[in-house]
Amino acid sequence: MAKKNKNSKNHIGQDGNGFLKDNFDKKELAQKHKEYLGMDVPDNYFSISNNNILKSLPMEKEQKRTVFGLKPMIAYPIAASIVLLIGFTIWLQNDPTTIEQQNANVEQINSMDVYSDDFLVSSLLVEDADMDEFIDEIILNEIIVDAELSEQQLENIFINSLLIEDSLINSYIDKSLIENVVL
Amino acid sequence: MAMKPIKGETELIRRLKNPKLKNKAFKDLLDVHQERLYWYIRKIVLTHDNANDVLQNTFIRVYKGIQDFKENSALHTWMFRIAYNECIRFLEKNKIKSAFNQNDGNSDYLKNLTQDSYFDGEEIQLKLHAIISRLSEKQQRVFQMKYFDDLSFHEISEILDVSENTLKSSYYSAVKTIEKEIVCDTIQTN
Repeated sequence: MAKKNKNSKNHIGQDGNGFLKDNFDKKELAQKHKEYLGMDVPDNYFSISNNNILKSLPMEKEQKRTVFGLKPMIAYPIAASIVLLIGFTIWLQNDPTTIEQQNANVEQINSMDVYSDDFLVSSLLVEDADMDEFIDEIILNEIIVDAELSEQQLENIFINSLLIEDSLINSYIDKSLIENVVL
Repeated sequence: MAMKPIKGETELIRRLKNPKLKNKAFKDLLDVHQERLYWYIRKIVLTHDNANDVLQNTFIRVYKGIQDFKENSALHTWMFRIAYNECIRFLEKNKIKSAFNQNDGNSDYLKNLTQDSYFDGEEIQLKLHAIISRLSEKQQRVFQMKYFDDLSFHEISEILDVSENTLKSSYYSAVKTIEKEIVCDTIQTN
């Protein structure tokens, strides 16, 4: 037990009003409590208490590492699904029927490639004569014939219009002549 | 008025909330706040042994609850609030009359105080305790927190959840009462 502070009476009792003035603000807490309230603590109490408190704490154990921080309840089904997915993919890759089908597809694609290549190359190598022939055919069959046909149509329209006009004139002449004669 | 944070408190809180740094940070927290909290508790539960128990429980609660600390107040005011609640819980559990509950006289208060082997007071200290014990609960709390724990009215307001004006009124009323009683006592002695 700590010794009593014999000066404490002087601090408090000197002056009744002085007790409440801020004349010990900077004093240590322990000294203040001892002097004015008579409260003491065992020697080295705070360092011992510090250790005791630290010992009594429910220290948090280091958390176990989990897959992406997921709980086992969630992590295990996800892991199983991934394993199944990978396994299924590998199985499909090694399946003989699938391999045959894949080979057939590859061959088909290759042949298409060859055909398209030939077509492209051959289109670049057309003979001039063939090209002239092709152009003549087009001109004769389509352009000239079309032009002739359209010309004929125009002539027909012209002739028809002339015939109509003549008949109208004739009828007019006839009518007017008769009228003239009669009148 | 903004709370005056203790230097490095924000950093300390950050470390306390980090599981990897928590234990080391808690040791630092103890170094800074242990003594202040002890004296705060001691004035409520009076005896050293009880204060020691309550202090330990308080820090365990702080350790467990630091993740839930919202930082709406300063860390130390949050700890003082936990300490106060822990004191009340302890006193109720052990059916001990608190320093704030002496309406039927202060004999129990002084008895509890003098039975403590770490009470080292003389007549004048006992007189002061007797005067304090006759104050109302609110006056005692405010007076002790302001005068002995060096807490500001704003901090006390946050800890006790009472308006600052009410606290100031209670404090000055308590101071006047204590001064008056000390003066009377001095005159009588002379």
